Amino acid sequence: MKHCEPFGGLMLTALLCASFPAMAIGTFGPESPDSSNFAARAMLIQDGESTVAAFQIDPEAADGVSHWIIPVPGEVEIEPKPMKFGDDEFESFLAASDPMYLMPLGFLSGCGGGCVEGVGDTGELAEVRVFDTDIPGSGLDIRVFPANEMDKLIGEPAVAEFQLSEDQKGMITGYGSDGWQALLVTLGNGVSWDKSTPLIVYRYSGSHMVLPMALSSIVVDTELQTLVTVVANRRMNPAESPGVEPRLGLPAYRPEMTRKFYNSRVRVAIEEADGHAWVLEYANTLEALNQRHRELEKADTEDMVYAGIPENPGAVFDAFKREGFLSENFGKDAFVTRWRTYIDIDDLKDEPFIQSPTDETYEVFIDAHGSRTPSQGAVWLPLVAMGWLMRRRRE
Amino acid sequence: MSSGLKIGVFGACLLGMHACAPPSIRAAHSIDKGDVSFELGGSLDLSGHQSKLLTLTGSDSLPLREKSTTHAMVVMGLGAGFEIGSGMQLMAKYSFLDERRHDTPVSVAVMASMPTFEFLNAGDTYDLSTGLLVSRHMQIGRSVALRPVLNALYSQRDYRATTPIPESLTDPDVPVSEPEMWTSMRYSGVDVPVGVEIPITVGDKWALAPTVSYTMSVPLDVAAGGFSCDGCAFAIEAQEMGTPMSLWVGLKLQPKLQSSTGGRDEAL
Repeated sequence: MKHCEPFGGLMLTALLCASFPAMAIGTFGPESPDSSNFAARAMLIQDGESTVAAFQIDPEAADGVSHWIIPVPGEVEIEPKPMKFGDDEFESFLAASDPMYLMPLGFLSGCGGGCVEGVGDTGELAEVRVFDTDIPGSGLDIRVFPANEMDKLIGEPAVAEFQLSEDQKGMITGYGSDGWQALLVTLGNGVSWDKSTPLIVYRYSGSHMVLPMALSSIVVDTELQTLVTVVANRRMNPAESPGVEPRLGLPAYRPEMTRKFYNSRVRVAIEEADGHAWVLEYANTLEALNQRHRELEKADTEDMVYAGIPENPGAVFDAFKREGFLSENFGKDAFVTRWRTYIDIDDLKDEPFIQSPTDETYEVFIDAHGSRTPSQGAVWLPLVAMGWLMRRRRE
Repeated sequence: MSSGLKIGVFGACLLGMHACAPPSIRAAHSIDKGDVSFELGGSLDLSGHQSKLLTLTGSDSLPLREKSTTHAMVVMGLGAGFEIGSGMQLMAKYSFLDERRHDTPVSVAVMASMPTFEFLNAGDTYDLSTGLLVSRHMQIGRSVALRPVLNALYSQRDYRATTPIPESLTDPDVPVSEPEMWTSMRYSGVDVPVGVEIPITVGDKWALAPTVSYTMSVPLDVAAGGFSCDGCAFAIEAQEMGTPMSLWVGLKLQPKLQSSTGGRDEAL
């Protein structure tokens, strides 16, 4: 049985023909409340000969985080600034590519197929991400350090507070040697376990799409959870780490457990890849992603319950265009690839993303409806004709 | 027991029996017209079917076996080698080579069984079988006999595998006293029950026969269908079908077999 199907017409058919709710399940949420681990999410968008990067971190740390260094694999073309979204565009974009879970009404809940499960019953659907997007950008300062000024960056009082080791200093100067620039983000009010940074967006030259994670080893306690959505004209895969797909199977657990189960299977997939891998969560064109959203809207009928259906997943690109980060004609032929991982502090390194040999599409779509139909219709065999035996009957 | 009483007992059992027909061996000789025999036993599913599981931390597996149940059946002789039986199933048998009626070292019969209409309508389980029965009655003492039996039956079955869930695979947030998984199973194939009955004479006309049989099957089609689970914390990755096999142990109260009546229906 194959339970995690690449997305195709299947989903539309299922949504239109069946009366079961669609649910977006959580994708983000550190599971270690007592550690100082970070969660990070990012977008890397290839736009012509430039790249637009958007980063956000959520330190699960008791103490406020006041500074943040972001290496940039190119020359900053448009100064970074925090995005102030009006309608949670980034959230909507991520929600549109979330793993989806469809289930029959009332199944496994004791309703016997006759009652409707409310969103609130699940408990897992609200606040699926730890990021608080309402954090204002006030008091935030971002400075760009050119490649030849890495020593100056290290000498900044804010950076000096880190008491970097020689190796860590060497890591920063190494970026400069490679022609990278760096951003020093000062978070005026700091962020701690219950807050996240604003989404920092900037545009740099070149199409070198790298997720800079190596420096996080300075502050991360044990691991870094990262979600990255790479948008280019092809599917993009991690260049130096394996990409894997979680085995999800056919749910025997109750619907409320979906998020927990998925998150656990993500970790299992990483462990099965020797503890270091990226887990694929979505791969398809931007047009298909928007279509997925529209299909969910169609499915939102009276006899279906849904959660997390985004208002407008493409709005984030409109916002980037509005702010001048993206060119006006961006979007045509764009391909969205979403990866997620937990990386141990000892394995943290910058991860480049390169074109995939194929544009194979993928989505996490768990349909608990069709495969659960009990087998019916046993074929009747005629009883053996006894007539011929009668001829042998002896009285 | 008078014929009227026998027929009355049989009729009552026909209406009131609710246990499952035993997937046991069945001897090939017939019983006298109007005589009845009673069978009571339990089966143990030893099939190698299993569910491959994806858990919160890795992988696991659980067996897919039918829950052990008690079976009962009442069989009545119709004469001329014919018998009918009733329990959860209806059974018809004809002994065309009959140690009771013929001078022959072995008995050979054909048999067919099907579910009663009550259980057919329930739609939960389904069991149909038909095939050949072979047995040999060997008297090994004044009141004890040995009766090896071999059956070869084509069978079609729909049944439900019931799997207890170990604590490590249960959902801690949903405490269930006895978490279980139920899986619809479908099987068709050739069952070959091999076993022995040990009839022990009780009084002048009856024998009590402890019976044990082991069934190995040659599946033609076996598959797991829908499932449901209560308190489980896993997903099903695959259903792997193994070799169907089962053990049956029971007790039969049957008319004492008195060999070769020369074609008559009355015992000598």
